Amino acid sequence: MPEVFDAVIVGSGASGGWVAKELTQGGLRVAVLEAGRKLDPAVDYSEHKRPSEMPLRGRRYATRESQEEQKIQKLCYQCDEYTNHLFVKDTECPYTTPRDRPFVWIRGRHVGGKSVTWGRQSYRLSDYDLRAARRDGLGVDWPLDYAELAPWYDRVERFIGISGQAEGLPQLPDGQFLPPMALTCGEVMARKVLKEKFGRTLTIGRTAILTADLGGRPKCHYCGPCSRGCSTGSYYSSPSTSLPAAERTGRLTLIPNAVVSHIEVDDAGKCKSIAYVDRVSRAHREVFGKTVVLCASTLESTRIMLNSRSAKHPNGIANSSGVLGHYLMDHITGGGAGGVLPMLKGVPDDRARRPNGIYVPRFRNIADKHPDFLRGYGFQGGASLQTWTHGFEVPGFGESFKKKVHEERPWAMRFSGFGECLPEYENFCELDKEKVDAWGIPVLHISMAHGENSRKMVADMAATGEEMLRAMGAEDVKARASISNPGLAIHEVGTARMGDDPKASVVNRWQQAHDVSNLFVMDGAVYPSSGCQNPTVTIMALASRASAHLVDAMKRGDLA
Amino acid sequence: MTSRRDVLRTLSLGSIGAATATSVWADTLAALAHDHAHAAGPAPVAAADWTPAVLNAHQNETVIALSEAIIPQTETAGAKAALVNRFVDAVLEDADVHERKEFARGLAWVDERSQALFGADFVATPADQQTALLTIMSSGKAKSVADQIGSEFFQAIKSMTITGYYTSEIGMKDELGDDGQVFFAEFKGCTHPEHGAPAPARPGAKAAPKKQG
Repeated sequence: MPEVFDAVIVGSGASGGWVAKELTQGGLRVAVLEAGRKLDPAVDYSEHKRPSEMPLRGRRYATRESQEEQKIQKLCYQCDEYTNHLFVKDTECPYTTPRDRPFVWIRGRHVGGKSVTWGRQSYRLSDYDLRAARRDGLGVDWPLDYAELAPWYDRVERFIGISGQAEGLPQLPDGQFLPPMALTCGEVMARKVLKEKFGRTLTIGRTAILTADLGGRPKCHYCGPCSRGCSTGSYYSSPSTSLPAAERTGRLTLIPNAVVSHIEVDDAGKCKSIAYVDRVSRAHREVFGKTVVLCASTLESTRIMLNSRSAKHPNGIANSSGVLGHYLMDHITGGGAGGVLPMLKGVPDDRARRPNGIYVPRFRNIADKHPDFLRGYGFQGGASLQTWTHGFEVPGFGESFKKKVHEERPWAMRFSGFGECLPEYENFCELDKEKVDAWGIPVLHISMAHGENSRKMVADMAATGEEMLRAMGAEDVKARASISNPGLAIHEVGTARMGDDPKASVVNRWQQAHDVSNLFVMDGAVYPSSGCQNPTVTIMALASRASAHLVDAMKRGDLA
Repeated sequence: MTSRRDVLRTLSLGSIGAATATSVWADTLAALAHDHAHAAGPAPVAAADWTPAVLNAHQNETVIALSEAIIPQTETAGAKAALVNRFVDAVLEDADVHERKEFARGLAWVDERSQALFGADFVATPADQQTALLTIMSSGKAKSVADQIGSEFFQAIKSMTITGYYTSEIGMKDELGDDGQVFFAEFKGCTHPEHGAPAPARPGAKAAPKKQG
């Protein structure tokens, strides 16, 4: 008889690794299936490599080979010559979209998933987000409020370590912060101006990077390029933090190179096992579990559910509502402004490289009501001294050019908006009727476009970004209002939303499928609305809460 | 075509180093060359027997001369000592056939114009004549199709020289003063009261949360 695990988790990223830690510490025997290989930090991480060690100096477009194999992935700002092996090959795992509705799907298939390359910004949602529908009438509320979620944020933050500054804002609740990183000169000035002239807060980014040693992990050493991996494990990634904790329980079985196809069910329609294809040998295999927890990432989890069709679940598992695949969201980007701060001319920068920026929490539709759009956005960005990239805009050549580049290093400041995306039924994914991936598994057809609310929000991002820079006395201010294609924020959420109504949602308030009591979804797929805050820490807080429920329910025998 | 350029611009939002080249191929080569490399670099592997993969001997010499004219030796070394030509050759090795052809056409244009003006190839002309030709190429006032080729080529070779130079060991260490240190005890940030910086934090003002299992 093959081993039957208490839980089989699909995915080893920010949520999968975290759920593995929570469930194994709760006493469960757990298998984690990961589609990709195990990384070796000594080989795969390159944060201390210098550009002159790279044939192409670390350029963003990577190599010709990767340009052909990673036509989509290379659109991600993090996918470059140092890191292209931390992103999928689009040729191996394709997807389709309507011609006029492009979607950019950025993925990492290896142990740790996107938690190895993520942006690390970590902001709590508030009741302005969780209870947004009852304020403005659009969409649905979450089936839980902030008071219910707050202790789970505490739990995540205490374990993974989030540095930040408490600000006492109702729309952006404070957390269990490690000491904040320092602001640069331009940011200190901006904080003052924004507060005095606009009543807006500028705070240091709340980031999953240690500013004090924690749980055996050393604090950040400010080398800079986190997205290439961190040899000292000083930012939260699943392989540096959650998975080792799960391993220490002795109850974790990690199965890399397991490309999951679908869930097998028993005669009653309950989960029995996970069917997967060995990434390397292409052999078909099965792993059995009393429960299944999907943490494969928003779209992959939904793809697995859609592909799990049976007599009991003809339209995909957990889809009696017909909502599965719908209400796909991704944060709105493409609006903001940049400029040069002339008053800082000649002021040197810190030689240490702070891997963090600033955050301006949402200020629209909090106290007042904006005439053009619902919900709101926050700004990320920062002010820093340019060392040489300004040279591309210095005219001429020769000695005078070289001197100018050396002497006229500008302090540049930018604000880039991240806005809430409204949930729309018409933004959805389904199984493509013909195409399969390199392992013979049906691929997704993704159909999404940003609407009018989003376009107006992006216009406002550009206007307010410019307004703030001008108020600071910035020069050469360039505003931008060109909405990015959906997916490019890499904050895709929704498609298996949580709710109390089984007719209108896929999972309940415990992230347990309404239709199938031993199936849980614990990643971004469960979002009923997107907020405008970077989603990872919320996904983890939710997963922590749901994991505690799963452990209790299993001990009570409720899932049998 | 437009969308490709839009993509480049989208990606460079926030970087003030947006390429200003005037054609798609030049944009592409500039993008190939320009990315956000920002850390320090050790000495390039001293391969005495290095030979270019794409450039022929004369083209290689021309690239050396052009790059050195764009970023010359001053108190610090220039593009020639930083081996920018090797970087250009690596970019071209990875470029597609069309981009390589356009680059070669640009190099040929430089010699043709140099011959027409001064009766010698670019590498064989004295510094003042090289400067005169580069001034024409960089003026941005191309009146003819032929001038346009030179103008676009200038943008491409200039962008590649900038990236190649400032990401080299010499560029980073000597010109930018970056010794390549990657371990820092702290990030101090703004310490200037005139900017509104707060008083230094009391030591141990905020203790780290207790670690959990």
